[in-house]
Amino acid sequence: MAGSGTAHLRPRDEVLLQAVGLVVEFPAGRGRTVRAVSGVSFDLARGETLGIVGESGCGKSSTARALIQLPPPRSGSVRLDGVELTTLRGEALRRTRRRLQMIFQDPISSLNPRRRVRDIVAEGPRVWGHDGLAVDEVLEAVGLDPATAAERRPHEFSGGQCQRVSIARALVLEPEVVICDEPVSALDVSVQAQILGLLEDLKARFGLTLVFIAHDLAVVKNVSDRVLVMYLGKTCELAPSEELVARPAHPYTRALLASIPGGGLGLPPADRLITGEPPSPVSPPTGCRFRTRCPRAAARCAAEEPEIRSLNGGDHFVACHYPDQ
Amino acid sequence: MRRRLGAGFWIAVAWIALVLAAAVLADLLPIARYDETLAGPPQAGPSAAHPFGTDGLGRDVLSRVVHGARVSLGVGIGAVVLGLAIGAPLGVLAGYRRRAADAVIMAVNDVALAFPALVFALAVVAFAGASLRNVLVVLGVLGVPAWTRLIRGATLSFAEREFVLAARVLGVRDRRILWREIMPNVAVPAASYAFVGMAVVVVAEGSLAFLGLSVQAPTPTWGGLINEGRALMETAPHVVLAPSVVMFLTVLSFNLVGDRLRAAGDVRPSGLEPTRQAPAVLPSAGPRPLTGALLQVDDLRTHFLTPRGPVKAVDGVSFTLERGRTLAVVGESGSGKSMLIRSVLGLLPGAGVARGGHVHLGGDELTAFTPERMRQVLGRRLGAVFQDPMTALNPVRTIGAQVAEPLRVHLGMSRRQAREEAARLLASVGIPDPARTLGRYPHQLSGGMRQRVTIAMALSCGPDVLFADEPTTALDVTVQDQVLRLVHRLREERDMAVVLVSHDLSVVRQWADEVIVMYAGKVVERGPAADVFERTRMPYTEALLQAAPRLTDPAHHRLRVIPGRPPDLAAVPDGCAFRPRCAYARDRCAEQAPPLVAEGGHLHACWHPVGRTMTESEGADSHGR
Amino acid sequence: MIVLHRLARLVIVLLVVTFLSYVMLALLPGDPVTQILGIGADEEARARLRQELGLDEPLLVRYAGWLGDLLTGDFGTSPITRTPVAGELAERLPVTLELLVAAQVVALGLAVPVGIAAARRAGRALDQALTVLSFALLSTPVFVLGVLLILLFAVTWQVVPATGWTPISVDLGWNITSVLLPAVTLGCGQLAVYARLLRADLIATLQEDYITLARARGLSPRRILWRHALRPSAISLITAVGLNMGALIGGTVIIETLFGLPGIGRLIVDSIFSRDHLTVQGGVVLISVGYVLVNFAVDVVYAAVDPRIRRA
Repeated sequence: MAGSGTAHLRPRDEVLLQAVGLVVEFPAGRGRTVRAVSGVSFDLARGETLGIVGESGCGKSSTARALIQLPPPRSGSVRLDGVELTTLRGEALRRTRRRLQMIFQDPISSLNPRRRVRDIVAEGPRVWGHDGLAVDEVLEAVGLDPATAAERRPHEFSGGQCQRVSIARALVLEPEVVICDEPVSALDVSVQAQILGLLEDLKARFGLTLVFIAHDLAVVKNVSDRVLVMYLGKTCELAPSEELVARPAHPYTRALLASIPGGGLGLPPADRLITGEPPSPVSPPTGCRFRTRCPRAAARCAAEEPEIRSLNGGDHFVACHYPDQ
Repeated sequence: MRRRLGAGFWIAVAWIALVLAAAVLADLLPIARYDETLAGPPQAGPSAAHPFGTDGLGRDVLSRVVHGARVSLGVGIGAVVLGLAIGAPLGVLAGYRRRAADAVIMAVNDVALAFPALVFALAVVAFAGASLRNVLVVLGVLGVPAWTRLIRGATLSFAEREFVLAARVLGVRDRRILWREIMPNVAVPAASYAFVGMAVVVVAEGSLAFLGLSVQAPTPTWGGLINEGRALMETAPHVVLAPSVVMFLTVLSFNLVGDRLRAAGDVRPSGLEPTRQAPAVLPSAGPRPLTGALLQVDDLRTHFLTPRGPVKAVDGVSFTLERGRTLAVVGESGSGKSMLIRSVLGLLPGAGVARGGHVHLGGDELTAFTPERMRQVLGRRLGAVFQDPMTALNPVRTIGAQVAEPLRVHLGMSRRQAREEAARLLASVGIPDPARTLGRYPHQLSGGMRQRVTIAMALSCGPDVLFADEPTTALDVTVQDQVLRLVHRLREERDMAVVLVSHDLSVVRQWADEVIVMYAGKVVERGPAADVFERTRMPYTEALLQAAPRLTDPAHHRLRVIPGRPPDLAAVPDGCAFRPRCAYARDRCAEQAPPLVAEGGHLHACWHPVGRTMTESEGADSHGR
Repeated sequence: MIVLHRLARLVIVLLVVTFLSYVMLALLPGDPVTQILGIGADEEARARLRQELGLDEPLLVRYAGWLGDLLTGDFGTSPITRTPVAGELAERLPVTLELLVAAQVVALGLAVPVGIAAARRAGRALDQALTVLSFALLSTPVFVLGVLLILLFAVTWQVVPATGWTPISVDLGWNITSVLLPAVTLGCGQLAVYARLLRADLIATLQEDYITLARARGLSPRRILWRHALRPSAISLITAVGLNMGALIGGTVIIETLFGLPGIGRLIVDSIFSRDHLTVQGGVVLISVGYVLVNFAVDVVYAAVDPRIRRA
């Protein structure tokens, strides 16, 4: 793995959002810090959907929060349409917020229980002085009937409907980029399909660019153009979603695929038998962070951190000393 | 959220209002003046002219109590308002801003807590003068630390929530977030604390007055009246009882109102409270003839009796299971799949539950067992693993104590034997260094390791059937695979049967021999896994399969959308429960509930079953591992 | 490591508490000089006495001197009673300690069975009755309860003396009789608090997955209650025992006055009335030290009960 580097980034003027060398740290008590994200880079072209996938503790949610500067990353750069966000403060930062919206995992906790749906959705336009879409129009777009839904409070809705309200709240400001942090993880399969379909529709209708974060590779693959695989705060692999599933090169990606019931077809048994659990991010392994669980780990992996490089001279990138070619 | 406040609340409110009105209007009431001596004979008991009697100087006790209320309530309300005015902003600041502000405010609070508050109030009032203002200010200021702590706690619990983050993402300014997002949520607990706080202050003022350190005579105060009345305790107990009772009722009312408000503002449902009452029994037909299967479940029903009517969580479920087989129960949340397992195990809450049907294990009818006999079956012959390994282990006991417990209780092993066996069990579920793990606590293990421990515990007495309720849902995908493999291996080694509950169709497809699909408490399809997945008959199963994204689908593949959502179990529609969401539904589906009909070993409950065979490339080799 | 950290914190808290209380008491109106010499004394005599008592020095110097003496166990000599404060406190401390311990024993000894009984039958008649009862106790001010108990037990039935104190050294039986009513009065309020806490926590614990799983392993209800549920449910109770020491100590002031017990609380009240700052200050220090030490002990017990916080 789990390496650093920027070989996979496209020229700055071709992309809408670019994150370079993101580092996010949290205090871990007793004066220590956890590096939740250490040196992750990626970019998004306008209208693209980037999937970020990884297990708990891989830093995918911290990456999402670093993009919206809540909190800002410890170091690294986030550029939205050429504007560097990490150095913005106060009012200037606030003004960029409407261009970059977010949808959260827990549909219940992300809505204020004491406010009506109309007020929740109208909060953005109210703060920005009523320029934005009409609340009713957005509620309709997310599949809620404004006449019946707008005057109710969140606890009167199911999880899926709450998630629709969350989406409406984000969309009403006509953002350019929407970051979806595990938006369907808390939902049942049938509702999950509704929300995934809705996101695709809205993306087409409003010309959105999406960052879609999930732990379920099948879900990520379904909605993404390209997929970034993360492990312990580092990048493992980045490839178009079809390519990633068809020709996974990084041992971790292969293990992830093999662990999905019915997903490990055609992979050799060695890749399937990944053992152990991710080490603590407080004291990550040296070199490649995946080496402690990697079936292919060699001496070099402990000594030297792999850099991201292109595998096929094209758009499939991997950070591994011994990738599957 | 809006829950009934109850009659007690309104009685308490009425009492407070009455005392407050009497205090405000004291001078206008048709009673003697509080300082008028010999308004009646001294130390006279209650009479029509003096409902509370008279004191040693013949003063009207009612009048004195009413005037005393002015001081008590005045100080009570005033001190709470003062404490709140200072404490609330500090608490909100500490809870919302965190970091330095929080550290400073909480450090000051620590010191304030170590101050003997009442002693201090005494000293200040004694030295600075016992006036209403001084008492009010001292008690108000002494309440500030408590207010700060309470408001900080409430703020903190909301400032962490995602809706606050969402507001910041929208670009809402901090001040507006505080007012619009946090304050309305903090207001309810604050109102509740305010009433409890008034109770505290009224008592504190009474204490000061009792020691002679509140508002001075001739102005009466409740504490002062009680102190005076003490001298007459033997000859005229009503003089001390009247203010005591009024004060008690007032404090009680404040406490009650505060408590009710807190309960009403509690967004968390109160949940089912554990009782040891046996569940009511629903009438049911006698058991079917025994098939000789290891586990035979017939017409199992579990209904929760709620004010909105019976909630049929499990409604007539039957199946059989043989050794060495895995039965999967699939369904969305609220389908009754978890409740089915708890019903089989007899782990239902007692109150408000009715159950019916029969469960046979190796020829024994478990549903007829007494709780004592059932305890001999649980753990020994039936093992259980639940979804969340974080809550499945007792946080304050060592792994060793927990794993060894069933061995000692059921198998009568000695302490040493049990410990050795526990280490062996931990090794068998793949825990490295089992001897050391025995001495550790659950929080020192990762989620995957904890789930292995719960599996070891469930298997410790060699059960015939292992019930696994979403055993891997809370785990990461690589760990999930390891745990499911482990369960499968142990099933083979021990020749057990496994009942696997899951919402994840791909997990079920890979590991199950037989499948039950549940919807609204009923079985809608049942059969060998290959049949259910590849020759699906029930439209719900078909829709579920097509709604789940698969790796083999191309990117941006449109998933099948099942409109609507699962029915409210207290109001399941007539006929087929899936009808409102079903693409194939016709008139008959609304009128008659479809029975579960068999085609060989494959059963389905549908009037218009889907007939076509689904082509599944990966389905073919999905079992037999 | 953690213990050292806590100890350091404890010392800082005590320093701040003593300093603040010293300054506040000194700045309050009410002058021992006037108290001793009377209002009509001439300026010269007042000045002489002030110098004699060291009151002419700056506040900080006086505090430093007092603190220095305190560290050697010297609480100073009261200008009013002309006796050493330390001796006075030492003489009265056993009475207050016995009262506090007895009150806690009464409160905890009853609260644990009551809390368990209520939780096991949650929502049923016994639980509701106990809830009403504990709510009533919670709402009864100690002095009201004390008066009522005296009225019943001492005046009407005459089973115990209304007031007075017999030290253990004189007669154990009489000592117990004299501490019984005050301890019950003081303990009742806490009893209600503790029982409600334990009941609520037990009910929550009994709904945890690990309890359901313990049932699924065929363990008896008795074993589940005592081995599995009680310890995790006792955590709030233990915290409350520490935090409520403050309320309890406040209560002793009232109780000792009401029952005529020669304890610290009574001493402080008397000293407040006689403007004896030094004795009040000594009492405040003693109470604060007691409070902080009890909470330190509670932290230690807490860690023993809940392994999760041992190395937090």
